[in-house]
Amino acid sequence: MSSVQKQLDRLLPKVEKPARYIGGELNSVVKEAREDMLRFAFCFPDSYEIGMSYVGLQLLYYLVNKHEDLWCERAFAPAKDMAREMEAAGVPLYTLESKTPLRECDVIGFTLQYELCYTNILYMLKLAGVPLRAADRAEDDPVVIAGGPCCFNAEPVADFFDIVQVGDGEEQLIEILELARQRKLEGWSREELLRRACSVQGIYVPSFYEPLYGEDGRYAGYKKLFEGAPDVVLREFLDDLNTVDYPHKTLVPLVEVVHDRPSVEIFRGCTRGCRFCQAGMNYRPVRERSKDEVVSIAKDQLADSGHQEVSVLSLSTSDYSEFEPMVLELMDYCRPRQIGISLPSLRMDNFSFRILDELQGVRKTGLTFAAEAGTQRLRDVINKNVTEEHIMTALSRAMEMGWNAVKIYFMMGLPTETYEDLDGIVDLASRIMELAKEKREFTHGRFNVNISVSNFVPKPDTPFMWCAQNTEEEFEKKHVYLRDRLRKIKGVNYRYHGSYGSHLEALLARGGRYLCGALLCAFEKYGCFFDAWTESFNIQGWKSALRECGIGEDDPAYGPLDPADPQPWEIIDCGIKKEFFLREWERAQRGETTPDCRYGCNDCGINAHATCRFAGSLTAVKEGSEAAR
Amino acid sequence: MTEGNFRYVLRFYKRGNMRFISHLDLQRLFKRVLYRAGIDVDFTKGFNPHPKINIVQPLSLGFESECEYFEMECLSEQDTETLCERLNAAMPAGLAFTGCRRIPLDKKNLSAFTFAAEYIVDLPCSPFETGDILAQETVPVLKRDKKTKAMVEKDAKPLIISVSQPCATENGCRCVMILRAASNETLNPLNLAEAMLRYKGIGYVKEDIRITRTAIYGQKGGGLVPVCDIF
Repeated sequence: MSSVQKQLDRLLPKVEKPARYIGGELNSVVKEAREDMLRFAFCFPDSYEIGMSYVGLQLLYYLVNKHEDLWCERAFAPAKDMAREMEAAGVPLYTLESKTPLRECDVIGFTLQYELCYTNILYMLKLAGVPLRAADRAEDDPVVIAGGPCCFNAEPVADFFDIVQVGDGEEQLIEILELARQRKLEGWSREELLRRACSVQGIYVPSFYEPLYGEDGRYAGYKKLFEGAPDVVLREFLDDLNTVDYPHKTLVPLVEVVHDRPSVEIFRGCTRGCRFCQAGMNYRPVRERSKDEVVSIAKDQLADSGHQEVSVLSLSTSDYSEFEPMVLELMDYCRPRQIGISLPSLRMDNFSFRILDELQGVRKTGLTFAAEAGTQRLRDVINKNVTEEHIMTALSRAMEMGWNAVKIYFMMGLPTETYEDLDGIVDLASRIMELAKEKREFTHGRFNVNISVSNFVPKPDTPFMWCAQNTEEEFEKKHVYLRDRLRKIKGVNYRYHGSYGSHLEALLARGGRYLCGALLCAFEKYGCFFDAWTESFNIQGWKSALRECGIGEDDPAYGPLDPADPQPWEIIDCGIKKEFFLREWERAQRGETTPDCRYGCNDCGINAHATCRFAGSLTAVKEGSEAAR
Repeated sequence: MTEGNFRYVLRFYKRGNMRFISHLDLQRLFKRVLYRAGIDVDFTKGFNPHPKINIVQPLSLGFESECEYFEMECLSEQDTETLCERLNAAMPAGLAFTGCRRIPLDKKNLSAFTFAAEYIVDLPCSPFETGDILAQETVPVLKRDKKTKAMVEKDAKPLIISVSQPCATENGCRCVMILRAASNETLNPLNLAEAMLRYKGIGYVKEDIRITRTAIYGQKGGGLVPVCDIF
C-alpha cells in the first residue's frame, strides 16, 4: 500500500464526498509501474465532477493507456476541505489510479477549457509541490504541459508551462509523451527535450520566445530565444477522426458527476461561421466520425457502463451529414431498452421535433434556443443564422406538442449593440407569451420563458477579436434595463451572469504574458482559485491583485484593438487567414451575413493546412433544404 | 410487489476505499450493474417509474462491510448459480456479490425485518474493561440531531444487544458489537465507541476508529438470524 493511501485512510473520513478522491472507477487503468515507463498525470483544473464529464479526458486517457510504455493517470482540483486536510497532513496532490504524488510523475498535463480555471492550475501545482513557474523547475521536476482550446492564446499562463500543445491532441500528445520517454531513457536535459519538442507541429515552447513591449508599454511582438524554434507555431490538425480509435468503454465515475453518461463526439468543427464563436473557428475544418462508428461506439459504451442515457456531441448536431439515419439507428437500439438520447445543439426542424417527441415521451424537459441577440439586425452582425419567424414557428409547434417551458440564450454587449437590441429581447419574450395564450388549449395557461443572458467576451481567432468589451458598468446598466422590462411580463424569468467574471475572462482571453504575474499574485497573495464557482469567486482579491500588478481598466485586452497592431496570440497560427477575420469583421459592421461554408467556400484559408471536406457540399441541394428550414 | 415476479436477495461486501461510496451512489452503481448484465428488474408503476431494488440497511459512509444485502424483483427467473458472477463483471474492485438466493415475494422489503447488526470495531488504544460502562443505569452517547445539526445526548442502553470485551490487536484493540439497527431504533457503533473511550478518559482521533459490519440480523423464533433467512 502506498504511503499516500495510508494517510488517505485517516483523511477521507473527514471530507465531503470522499469518493472523488479514491479512483477505482470501472475501466480506470492500473498498470505495473516500470522504470522505463513514462508516467503521465492528466490534470483537469476543476472539480472531479466537472472534469469527469469532459469527453476529451475519456478520449486521451484511452489513447495514452493503449501504449504499453505510457501510463496515463488522473488528478482533479480537490475541494477546499480536502486541500486543507491534505496540506495539514502533508499529503501532496496524487494520481487517483496509483496514489503516486504528482511530483513523481514524468509529465503533468493540464487541459485548459476556460479562462477562469487558470488559478486552479496554480492551486494544483502548489498542492503537488511542483514549482509554479517553468523557469524554477529543476531537471528532475515533472515537465508541465497544456492542451485544450485556451492554448490558442496561452500567453497569460505561458510562464507556468514547459510545453503547450495547440490543436487536435490525439496524435500530438502521444508524440510528446514518447519524446519525454526517450528523454528519460537517454538522459536528455530538460532543455534538450524542449528543443526537440518544438519541431513537432502545434508545439509551443513559451521559454523559447520573449514578448516585446514598446516604449508606450504596448505589446510589440516577440523575439525568438532559440534559433530552432518555429517563427510561428501552426496548430496541429488531425485529418480524419476515423483513423484514430475512440474509446468503446468509458471511465464510469462512482459518484454522480455533471454529465453522468457516455458521450460520442460525432464531428469536430462547424461550418456556420458565427462570428463570436471561438470553437467554430479553432476546430475547423469539419471532420465527421462515420455513422457506423458513432452507433457502434454508443452501443458499446452503453452496454459496458450500464448507463441509461447517451449524448452525441458536436457544435451543431443537426449538421451531421447522416444525422437522420444516425439518430434513427440509435433510437432503434435505445428505445426498447428505455435508454435516453441527449442531443444538444439541435436545430428545431420537423425531424428534430419528431425525435424529441419520441425520446421524451410524456415528460417534457426543457427546450432551449440560442437566439444570441434580440434583433435580426444584430443577429446578422454576429452571423447567427436564426430568424424570429423560425423561433416562433418552432415554439408554436413545441406548445402544441405539450412543452410548457422554453429557455432562450442571449448575449449582451455584442459589437454594435444598442438598447433597441435589448428591447428586441423583451419584444420576443412578450410575443412568446402571447403565443402561449393563443395556444391556451395546449398550454393550459401554463408556459414559462426563461431568458438567460451572458456577457459577450471577445475571443482571439474570431472576427470579433479586435472589438471592445462592454465595461462592467455598461453590463450592469443593461442588466438592470432588461430586468426592469422583463419583470413586467408574466411568465418570464430572467437570469444573467455576473459581469466581473466576464470582465476577467476577457482579460485572460486576450491578454499577454504580463498576466502570469497577476495570476500568481491573485493566487498566492489573495487566495483566488475556483474562480468559475460563484460561491468562491474572490472578486475583491482579483481586483487587488490586478491593481498591484498595474493592470488597469485601460488594459489592451479589454479592447478595442487595432488590427494593424501585433497581438499576443499571433505567436500561434490557428490556420485561418487574418484576411478572413478582417473581411468578416468588416461585413459584421455592415450587418452583412456570410453563408454556411457548405453552400460554398468562404476562403478562410483552413484548406491550406487540412482537408476541408464540406466546403460547398450543399450547393447542389441548396434551394430544397433552405426552403425546408 | 407484483404477483408472478421473482425476488432475490444478494449478499455483498464493501471493502477498502469503497467504504467512501455513499448509499445513494451505491444505488446508482447497482442500477448500472443490473442494466449492464441485462437483468430484467421490474419497475414501479406511476409517473416516475424506478427499478424495484433495495439496499437493505444503509451503511454509514466510511464503514466497511463483509455482509450487506441487496434485494430486487425481476420479471424473469435468474440463474442463481451465475448471477453473482455476471454482476461482478462490472463491479469496481472492493465491491462484490458473494451469494444470492430466491426469496418469496412479500409486501414488505427486507429493511422492514431488520432488527440488529454486528460490527467489528477497531479502537486506537490498549484493551480496556467494558463491564462498568455497560453496567451503568444509562449509556449516554452524543448524536447529531438531524434537524438542528446540534450534538444531543441520547441513552444508548436499550439499543445495545452485546459488546464483547476488547482484545489486543497490532494497532490497538478490537471488540464486537451487536446493536439495534432498525429504521427507527438504531445505534451507530461509532457513537458508542466514542462514548466508551470518553467514559474511560482515553484520548483518540475519530478517524482512527475503524468499523466493519459483519452481519445484519432479523428476529425469528425469539432469536437473531441473518435477515436473508427471515422467511
